[in-house]
Amino acid sequence: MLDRIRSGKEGRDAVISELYYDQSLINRIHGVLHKYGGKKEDFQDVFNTSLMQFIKSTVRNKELKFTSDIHSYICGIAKYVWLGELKKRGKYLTDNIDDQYDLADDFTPESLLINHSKKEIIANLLKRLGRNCKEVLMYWANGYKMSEIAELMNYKSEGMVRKKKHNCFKELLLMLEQNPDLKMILK
Amino acid sequence: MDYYEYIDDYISGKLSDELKLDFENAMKLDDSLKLAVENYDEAKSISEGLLEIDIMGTIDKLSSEKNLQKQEELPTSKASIFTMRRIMAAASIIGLIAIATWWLGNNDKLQEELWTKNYVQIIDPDAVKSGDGVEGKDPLATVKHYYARNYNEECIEAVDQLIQNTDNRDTLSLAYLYLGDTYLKRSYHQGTNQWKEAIAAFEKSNEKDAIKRKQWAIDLSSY
Repeated sequence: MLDRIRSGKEGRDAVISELYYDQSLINRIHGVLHKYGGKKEDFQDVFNTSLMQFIKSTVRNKELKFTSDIHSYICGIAKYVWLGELKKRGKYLTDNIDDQYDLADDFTPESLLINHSKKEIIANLLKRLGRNCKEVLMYWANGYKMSEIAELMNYKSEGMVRKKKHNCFKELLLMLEQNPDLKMILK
Repeated sequence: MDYYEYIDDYISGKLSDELKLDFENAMKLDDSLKLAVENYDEAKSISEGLLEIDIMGTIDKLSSEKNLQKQEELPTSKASIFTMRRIMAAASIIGLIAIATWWLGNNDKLQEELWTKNYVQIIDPDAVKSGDGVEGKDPLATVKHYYARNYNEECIEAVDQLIQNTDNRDTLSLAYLYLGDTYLKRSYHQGTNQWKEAIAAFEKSNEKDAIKRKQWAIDLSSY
């Protein structure tokens, strides 16, 4: 499964779809929420965020392997996401909740780069960038080597990827120059 | 020379002294290049965020599909039940079913709304902090331990045992509060319909909170 997630957009989307409809995973995350005082209406946000974090971590960290099964790992993320949400809502009375809840110690979710509400705006502004452009920039910024991007996206050579990345990044920089709003949105 | 090609290396300090000097001179003459360097971090951050945008896009699409499926499933299954010859009869039955479904659905919604708006789990910091087991804990701490983790069956059993073994009124009052609330949670989350048991337990508790929770149980049981 991890290889499929790292195999490019098609494989990644296929795994997301499988996990999204995985009733066993859904039940287990419901269980996590129930155990920590979550309500039914909290489920979808926690589930989506956990799934996103799992896929993102797998793509970004190519060395990542699991000591437990993937469902347990995603449940660990869900627990972390939910307790983080509870903290935000000020529902817990203690500061040391992380230690007390025995959180998955092999996972520390990175904070989200793009706030969900800003996602649409940014996505719209970036429509001018072609799909390949976005994909190349995405892999590059997430730490992939040119040779790895070439293999993932079927480019003939590293040089071609380098050129593509260069052109796309230049285009993005020009877009930022022309759309100062985009810069403001990120702040 | 296209100096944009060297931005990464310039930012990461990998340019040779000579090229660095050329690059900086070029920035003085080219405002766009200068701005590009200023905007580099944002551009990289956006590029990094493209992964999140892409994944969330896929998940959002799946969510929409799932919602659409839910909407389509109901009429299809109903339509397949009836033959054309019975359309008139079926129409009236469908009408009744629709009313019943609406009524039940609406009731479920109202109940959920009531629960969501009002219900707050009793939070005891010591119970939340306590370790996994109940060994060495006194009976009331055991009740709280199970309650905090939503181990409803174990909690009810622990209250039963406590009730049999104590006549301390304060302890009993708290135990009944936890018992009532456990029945409340079971009835709502597990559909056990033990609202009456919840009400009875709250009535035996002298805690202030019990009055409020008893009212919730009465209201929730009416749906």
